[in-house]
Amino acid sequence: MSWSEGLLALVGLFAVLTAATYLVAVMDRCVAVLVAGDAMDLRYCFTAPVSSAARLLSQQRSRTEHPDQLNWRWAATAYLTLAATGLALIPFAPGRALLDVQSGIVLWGALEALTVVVVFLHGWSANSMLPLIGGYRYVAVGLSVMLVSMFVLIAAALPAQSLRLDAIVQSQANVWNLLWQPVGFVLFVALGLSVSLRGPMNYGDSRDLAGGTQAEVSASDQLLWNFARLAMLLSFSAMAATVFLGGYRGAALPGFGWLAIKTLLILIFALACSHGIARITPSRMLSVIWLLLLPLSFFHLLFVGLMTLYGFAHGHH
Amino acid sequence: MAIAGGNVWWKKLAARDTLPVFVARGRDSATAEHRFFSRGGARRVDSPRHAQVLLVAGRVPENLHNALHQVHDQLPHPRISVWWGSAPPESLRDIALRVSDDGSVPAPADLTARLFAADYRSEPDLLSDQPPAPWRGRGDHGQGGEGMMGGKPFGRPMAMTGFDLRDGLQLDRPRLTVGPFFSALPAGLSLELELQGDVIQDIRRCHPPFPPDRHLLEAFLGVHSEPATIARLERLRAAFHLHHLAHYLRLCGLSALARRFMRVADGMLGGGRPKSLAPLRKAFLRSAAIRATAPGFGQLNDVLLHRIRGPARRAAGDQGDLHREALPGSEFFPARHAKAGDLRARLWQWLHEAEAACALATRLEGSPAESPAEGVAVESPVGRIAAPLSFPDADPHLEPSAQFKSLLEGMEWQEAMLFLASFDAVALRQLLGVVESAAADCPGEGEVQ
Repeated sequence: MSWSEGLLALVGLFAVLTAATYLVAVMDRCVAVLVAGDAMDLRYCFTAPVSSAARLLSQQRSRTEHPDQLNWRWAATAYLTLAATGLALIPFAPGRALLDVQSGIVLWGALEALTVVVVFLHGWSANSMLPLIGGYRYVAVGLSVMLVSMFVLIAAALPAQSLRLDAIVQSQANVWNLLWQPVGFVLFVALGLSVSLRGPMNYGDSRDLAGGTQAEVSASDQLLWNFARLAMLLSFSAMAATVFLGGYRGAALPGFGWLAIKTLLILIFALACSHGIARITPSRMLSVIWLLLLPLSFFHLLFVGLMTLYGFAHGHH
Repeated sequence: MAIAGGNVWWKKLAARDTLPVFVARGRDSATAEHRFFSRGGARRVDSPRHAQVLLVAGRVPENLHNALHQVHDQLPHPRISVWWGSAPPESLRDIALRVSDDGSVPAPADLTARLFAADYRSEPDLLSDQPPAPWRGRGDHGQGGEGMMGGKPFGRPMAMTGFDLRDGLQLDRPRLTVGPFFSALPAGLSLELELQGDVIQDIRRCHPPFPPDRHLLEAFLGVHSEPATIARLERLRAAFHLHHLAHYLRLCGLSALARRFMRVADGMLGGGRPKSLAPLRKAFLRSAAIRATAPGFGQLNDVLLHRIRGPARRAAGDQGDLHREALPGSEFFPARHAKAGDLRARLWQWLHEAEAACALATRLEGSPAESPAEGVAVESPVGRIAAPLSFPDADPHLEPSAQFKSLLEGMEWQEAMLFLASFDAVALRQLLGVVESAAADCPGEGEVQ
């Protein structure tokens, strides 16, 4: 790819990211309105993300006493970069992705790990207690959930006998991974909620900490952070659609169309979970993860391995 | 930092957004808050950094003014404050808005227009931008302090190390004062905590929460000139409990479901007559909010249990409920007693009492209004009361009792917030050892029984 093509790809990626993230914000509001039982006002749902962005940009940027300025400003940008990189990994047509890496699924795992760093830095840099507590809690839960997701991702890569995302999509030629790896899917959704700080896994930005890591941010910094959170949710949904719902595979529509539809389905599911399931206390969540989810992911991996070994998983043989 | 006058389309777009308001709740703030938000166009935010308007609802006692000024200064510009029930400080007299109960309520759209006006001078800071401990220069070994640790700190005192309650590890124990306007805590409750990570190690000082709105308690005592019907009182009771459940749901991350609870509760306050609260109970169960804490978490020992009254005590198995005596022949079935006395039981008790109150209101719709005879005790949503109470202002630097400290020590942050949210304000005050007294002009004993 020449540098001009690369530049075009980058611009295209951010254009798609921005437009799709706006749609995620709209959907988030729609789901919230549905759960609250208020009258659905579509006009409000569509204009609210833009108008609240405009209002945020009109605010003064807040200052705390001796924050770590560099890391504070960098954290939100880094978070957005991680989300964008995750989105770039997704194949949208056979053999075509913006970032086609031989070990694509491992790179995604690395992005999850870096999210933990980014969220902690966002909480720590403000030099304020409430964001710091949010950062601490997130590290504890985020790291644990990340371990679970590693096994889920390896299990998804096993039938494809490759770590390349395109190969994983092709391995779902006969049956989607969701249908015979449902446990993996549920665990992966838990991870997705965690990396995008949503709902039952939102230990970093929660309301019992007055906003957690974003308690001391306002204006453009808050806008960027929340945009990055939504972008990460989008990126995770697209990854889940690729790994569990067969990605771009499908008849009649172009690959991109099927990918969009499947991502939308995952998004609706993730948003419903985030507005409908309570967040349990961190110590209980850690017990659940280490005593229930992690062993479950081991057995899941074992199950998938055996299925692959005895040829029940018809990959692209 | 004012917006340049030329960007009109930009401001028009921003003005369409709901107005972010931070509510600083004082005493008897319910009316002000309800009237401000009931027309829509504004939303509550948890952090003053996210707000453009500071709504000071109710009366904020003198000794909490410093905290209020700190909150005010955290709002980013452009900002405006609305004082409903308290007087704004001198420096803000010309800029801030003052509202009284019988006056007109500023509409969010008007406030936004004011904020975005080209010539708007945003409110100045109330406190000076200086650190509390003045910097006295370098010490002998560099940046403040004598030697590596401790000694006389120059500048802001460091968090010193101390043993962790869980495993004895020696780590930093920073101090943090949360409240009295912290959104996750009941209004007025302020705690000076020593933390390690997110676990509370010690509570140094506290200010008890403000008592419930006096209009509510007076309605139950029939103090108002028009006595209320039983149906109306039971709906007040149900709304009171639903407000508490909504707060708990917000702390568990379920803001949308909390809005649903609040809508039903506010509807009942405004005269609505829902037949049953079963859909709310189903939604509550489905959300697994009751499982946020472990079973058995949040139990009180016998000493503390004897101090409190009302639903919290009934959740521990106490059978006292004046409904039976007050309403003979009404076939009132008391709410199922959970008996465990833990946090889950208290939530169940609120839910069941709200449902029972709603069912009773539906059954006794149309019964005539009556007020209790003077001195007769009634079952209010916070327990038995017999006379109007005065609830004097408290000292913000109370030393909490050892019993109360032992309750919260070792709890992590979310557990502590949920625990404190599982009591109403009166029960919390009783746990903290605040003794309520009867109003001076009312004869007879007035201690909250």
